[in-house]
Amino acid sequence: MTTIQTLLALVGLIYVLCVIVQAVQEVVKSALNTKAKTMAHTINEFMGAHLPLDDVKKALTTRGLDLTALEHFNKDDFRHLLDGIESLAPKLKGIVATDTATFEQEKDNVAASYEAARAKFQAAYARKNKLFALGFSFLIVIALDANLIAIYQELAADQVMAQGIAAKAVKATCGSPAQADSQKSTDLNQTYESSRDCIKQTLKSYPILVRWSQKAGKMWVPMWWWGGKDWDEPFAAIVGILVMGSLVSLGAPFWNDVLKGITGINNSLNTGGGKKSQ
Amino acid sequence: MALDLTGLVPTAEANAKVTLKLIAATATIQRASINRNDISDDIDASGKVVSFPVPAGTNTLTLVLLPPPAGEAMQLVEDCGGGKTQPIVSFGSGIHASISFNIIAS
Repeated sequence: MTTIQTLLALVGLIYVLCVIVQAVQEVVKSALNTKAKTMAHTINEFMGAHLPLDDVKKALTTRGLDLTALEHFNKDDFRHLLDGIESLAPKLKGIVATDTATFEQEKDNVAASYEAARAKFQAAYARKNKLFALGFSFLIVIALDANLIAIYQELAADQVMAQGIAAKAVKATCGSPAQADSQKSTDLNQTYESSRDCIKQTLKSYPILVRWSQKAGKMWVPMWWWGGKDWDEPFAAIVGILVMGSLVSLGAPFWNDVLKGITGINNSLNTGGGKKSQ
Repeated sequence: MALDLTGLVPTAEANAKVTLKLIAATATIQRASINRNDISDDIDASGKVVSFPVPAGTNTLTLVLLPPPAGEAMQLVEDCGGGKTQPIVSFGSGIHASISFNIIAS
């Protein structure tokens, strides 16, 4: 059962790392404006010269919206948006093969294919996010030197810490992704500050994640630094960091589910198998 | 109350005397060590209480238990005196042969 608690604490720490990665990702996504850029690329590809991006942006701005709002548009909303774009008729000429197609029919045709464009945007944005998650997972794991093997060894030798982490890791959060999304387009500074504070607080609460040591010159460096403790067992350090990076890249929702599952198993073992059927 | 248990790792003042008590129906503390120095002589006759001073720095405490053949719930607490205790670690039903953790003293 102690092994399960150690595993529970380890999963808890992986989840905490995912929360940190998520917070860093939000800041970078806000700074780079990735959602708007992906949407702009999708709209450009969608209709090309028939529906210029600037015209779509202008119509959205008139309604007090930005380009990312298109993510939540359905085909009817998009059809109404087309009504607000000036001098669209000549640009849409030739969209429908029939010579007799009216401007209204052409707009209907564009709106009908909008759902496909939105799906394409979502796929492209999800792909981009996965790449970001993978990159930042490894970056953060390497920066903190959160070596899976070393952390497991530490947790196995300290049951008080393992129990403490298991009890509180499930509550670790840096705000829900939905909240972060709604804030990001409006206030980059706010996103940066809240993420920075959250990361600072999280690392303070889980000092085991930061495997740094002080050199003779009082400089703090990760243990993979030249002459650091990781050099005693370089293979374990490399494997530990690579595996931890891969696990963290699976994302916070996945590890939250795993954490809840293992907590359930641990609780039922602690209570001797749970309720008996009558 | 020599131990501060607010963080993940218990902390104490250097050289503070810590008294730990095992609350279990039958399990007892068989051996104890701090930083690999044997302090088994500091275990009381009942086998439930061990007292020791914590030197400055990170100290690894290991308690080897004598568990009963059948599993039982147990709790390790700090005996703060005057009948007061504060929980350090607890285990549900199961066989637990040892408890180890760090105490940071400064």
